[in-house]
Amino acid sequence: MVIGDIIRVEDASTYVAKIPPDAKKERIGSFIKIQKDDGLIVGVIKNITNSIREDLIPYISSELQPKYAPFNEDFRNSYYFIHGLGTIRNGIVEYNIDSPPDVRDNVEILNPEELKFFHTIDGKQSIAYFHSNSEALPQNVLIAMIDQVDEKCPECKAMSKLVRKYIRRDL
Amino acid sequence: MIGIVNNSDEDGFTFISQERLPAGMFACYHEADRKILCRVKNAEPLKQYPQEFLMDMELSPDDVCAFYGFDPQDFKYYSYSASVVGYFDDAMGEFINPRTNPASGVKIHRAGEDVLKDISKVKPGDSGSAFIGNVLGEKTGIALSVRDIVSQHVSVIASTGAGKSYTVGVLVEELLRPYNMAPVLIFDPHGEYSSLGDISNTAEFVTTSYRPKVRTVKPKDIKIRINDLLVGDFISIMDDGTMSDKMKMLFRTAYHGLKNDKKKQFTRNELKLRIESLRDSNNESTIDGINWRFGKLNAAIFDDFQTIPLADYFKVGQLTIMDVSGIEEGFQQLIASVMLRRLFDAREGTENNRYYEMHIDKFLPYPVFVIIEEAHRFAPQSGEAKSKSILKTILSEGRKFGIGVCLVSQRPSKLDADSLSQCMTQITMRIINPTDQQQIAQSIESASRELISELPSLAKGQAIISGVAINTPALVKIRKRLTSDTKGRSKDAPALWAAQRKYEDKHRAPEVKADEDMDVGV
Repeated sequence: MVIGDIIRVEDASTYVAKIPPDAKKERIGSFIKIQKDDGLIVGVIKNITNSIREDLIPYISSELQPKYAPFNEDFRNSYYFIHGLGTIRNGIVEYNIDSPPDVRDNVEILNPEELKFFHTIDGKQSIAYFHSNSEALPQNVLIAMIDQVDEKCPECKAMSKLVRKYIRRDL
Repeated sequence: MIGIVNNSDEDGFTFISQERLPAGMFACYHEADRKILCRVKNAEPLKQYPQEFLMDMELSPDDVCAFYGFDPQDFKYYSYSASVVGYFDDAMGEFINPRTNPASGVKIHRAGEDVLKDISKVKPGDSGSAFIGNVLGEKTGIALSVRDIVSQHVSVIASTGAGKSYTVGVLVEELLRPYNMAPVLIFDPHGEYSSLGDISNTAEFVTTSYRPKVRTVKPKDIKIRINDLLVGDFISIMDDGTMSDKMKMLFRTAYHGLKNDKKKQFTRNELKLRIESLRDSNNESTIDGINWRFGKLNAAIFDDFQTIPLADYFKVGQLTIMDVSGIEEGFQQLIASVMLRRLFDAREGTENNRYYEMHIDKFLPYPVFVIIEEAHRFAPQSGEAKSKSILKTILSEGRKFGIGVCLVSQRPSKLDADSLSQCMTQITMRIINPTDQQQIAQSIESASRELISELPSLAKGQAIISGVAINTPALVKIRKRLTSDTKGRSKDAPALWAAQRKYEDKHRAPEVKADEDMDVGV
């Protein structure tokens, strides 16, 4: 199910997706995927915002509105801030992104099998991208992510319990 | 290569390594075609596991690290602090500190035999060497310079059971080797060195032209000649706290009167007669009091003629063990005092051409080495001992006259600090008591202080050797003794009890049981 489409790509792992009007908003920390020709980009919803100041639009002259309010047609829409975590290409999981998504790419929720697959490296459960992304992601997002991993990969509960404690103390 | 220099400051430098290196270990780096010796001080992990990752005993921290995205190998590195010892200058015969620290990125290597051999001033096995052991964890032998330990004294300090007597035994063995042939005397308050008697019959000590002699002097054979006592000795023997000033004055008058006579030797009877000669109507009771106390000089240890025969005790290639076990501590101090006084007089007189071959028992034309066990009894830090004064004199002036002293003690804090600091070579073994550690720290050179923290963790037979007889302080594993050491070993009490019980069971007379028929009661 498509939960939004990319409207801005700031760098290889920072994107903004527009949430369709009246769509149910997914929770912060949910894993998402962006389908590409050669595989998937896996990311996480870092934040949800209404950052476009629609209430100011009536005060902007009509000729300047296209410049300052490019999204002025959908005042009620919200936006996902997405943080890219890695890719799944040809059945291989990589915890880095060398090619960001394109504008208008669809954003979907990562299904449980894909989530489990993304968290398996060399046959072992892994959240190894946590360390490299721990500064870019706030604590509540990381905790939400580990909760989902726990739920879908119960075999790594013991380790994720320790990681959760570490995140709560240190980050 | 074992590591790479990280940074440096005024205290030394740090390097990173994946190897576990013990504190005190030697390492080296290359600088301008020279190998610079350095000493590892402390180690700490470069990066520590998050404490949360250690909270599940079922999980390996490495697995949790890998799960989270840490490289477990990052936790296998250590940051070592180290200090520069220097490069060995053949011309100077010592390590010269380059006064610079290695630059960041310089490679650190394990110090090899070619560098470690320079720690010893002399080559093991050469004349004037005492091969005491090996650099801890290495094969390189450490030899002390006998010349330096004899001229500038040595201390052996260790807690009980750390291998103190064993180490002294090794030192004695080396001194008695064919390449040294030293005249050595052990003042042995516990009678624990008799096992060194094997030296005479052990192949390593014997050549076609040399066989060391071991002479054990039993307590009953040790005599103090009355004439060798000073007036202060007499008074200290007689005075139990009740000797009046008048008594002391009269005794001194009698003693000096006798000494000033042309006759140099005197007997107890002559001294007593001299005291009697001072009797008049005003001092009747005082003279009686002196005479009564004079009875203490009739103890078996005192003799009118027999003395400590220096020439017999100090012979080249001879070990003399003065077994003073069982002798009252005050008398032990007196024996040590008289022996050391006579020794000092003999060596000083011989060196200054006052004594010649005709002066039997006073002419001693070679340096000697004296080992004082339980040295804190003979030169205590607090309180007096009859031997303290002469021991301090020898320690401060003995160098000029060739009297080397080895102070052996398990309580350095109870040993006179001045005396300890005169021992310019230190063999220090496991010491746990902080006061004792502090005393040691005060008496040794600054370079060795880095190693003081290692004292409590030293294993039996491991020692820190520092001072003039070695080029740089080193942690040493004392070598195996060539003679047996059964006397100094701790007793295996449970085994001995079991053996005793077995013996008693075997030799017990059968119990006489009462005849049941006879046991009719009353």
